[in-house]
Amino acid sequence: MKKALLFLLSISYQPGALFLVWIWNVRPFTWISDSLNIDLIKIFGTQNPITLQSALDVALLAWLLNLLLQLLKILLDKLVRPVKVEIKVKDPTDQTKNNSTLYSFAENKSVPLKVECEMEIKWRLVGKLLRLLKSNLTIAWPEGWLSLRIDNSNKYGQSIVKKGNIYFFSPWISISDAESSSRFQLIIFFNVNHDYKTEGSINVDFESAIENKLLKFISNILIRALVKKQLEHRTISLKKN
Amino acid sequence: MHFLKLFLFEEDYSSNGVPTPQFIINKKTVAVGYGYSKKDEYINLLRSASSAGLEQVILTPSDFTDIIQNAITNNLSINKIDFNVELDADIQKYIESVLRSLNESHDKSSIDQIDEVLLELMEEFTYPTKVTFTNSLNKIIIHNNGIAGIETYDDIFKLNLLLDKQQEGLLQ
Repeated sequence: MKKALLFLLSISYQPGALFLVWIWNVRPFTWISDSLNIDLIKIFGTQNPITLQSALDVALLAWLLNLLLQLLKILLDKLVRPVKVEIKVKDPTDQTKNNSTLYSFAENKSVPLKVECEMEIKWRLVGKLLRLLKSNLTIAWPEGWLSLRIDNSNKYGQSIVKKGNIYFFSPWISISDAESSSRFQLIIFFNVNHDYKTEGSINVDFESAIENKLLKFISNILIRALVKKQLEHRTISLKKN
Repeated sequence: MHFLKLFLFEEDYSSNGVPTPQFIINKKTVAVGYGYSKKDEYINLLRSASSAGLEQVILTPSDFTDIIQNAITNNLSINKIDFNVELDADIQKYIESVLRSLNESHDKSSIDQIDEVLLELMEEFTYPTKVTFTNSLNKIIIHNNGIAGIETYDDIFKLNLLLDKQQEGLLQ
């Protein structure tokens, strides 16, 4: 998103300068030359001072816009979100390292996976806000196609809520306000229910568990602004017989 | 031995399209019988069950601890726990000794020991795939993918006792 925006700006600042001069009459060079009483005809001996002035206006404007763009780039690079959340669905038996697990439908085993989560909270206040926004680790799977169960779910008690095909796990019960980083893992077991579909994925995220749709939408925008998420989902593919 | 596959059902489940025999184990679980030796029959059962909106039962290590607890409460003996990989000889021996004392004395501390060892093994991605119980002379087998084996249909109610939820959410 950030890269796309910067790319778009970098290819459009030059025509943008032309448009600013042409349509909105933004003429930085003219303003300077007027205020300093520079006589272009005298200096350049030109027959067409208006054209030259406009060209210089565009050039100066393009230079200024480019300067702004470069400053914005530096600013965006420096701008770090106060919370980092990394969630990965790992399969220790997966040799391929391409985040996918092959499943034999004929063998129909229950297969365990590890969901690892690492959180870094730079500002304690933001941690409190995320708690307030009910930010949860979520595990979602293709409904009907997979059965999924968290091991030891009794132990976590209120922290785990299952809604349809999504598990919401609240990390906040076990994290105190004073902690700046936290690491935990959940073991999940899955099973494939049918082979009408041959590929699907178990997706993880960090989002609000608030019931009210509007509040949830707003909370998720806030969470997105405050949290740098690094998510690693896992694809489940059926082995060909 | 009769083989059954355990599924979870929603409240509005109708058994249409799913093969028989079917046994309602508890409020959420149904057991469907099938021929163990016929691979196609099992696969077809999975397909028809999922079309009927059923989901397979998954039993995690902590679920097995609960099931073992239920076995002890209901005077069933635990014969053996099979794992996905072969265990080190000393861990194997340890588990056997805990199971022996569990079967003899029915004490709570042995359950905690089982819970602990299953938790530790899970760290290494070692988990129980099958637990075998005995009820006088009859065997009852429960696999972690929800397959159960009983020697006579009269033992269905024992299966019911084993899968009984002492704590909320055993089977989701």
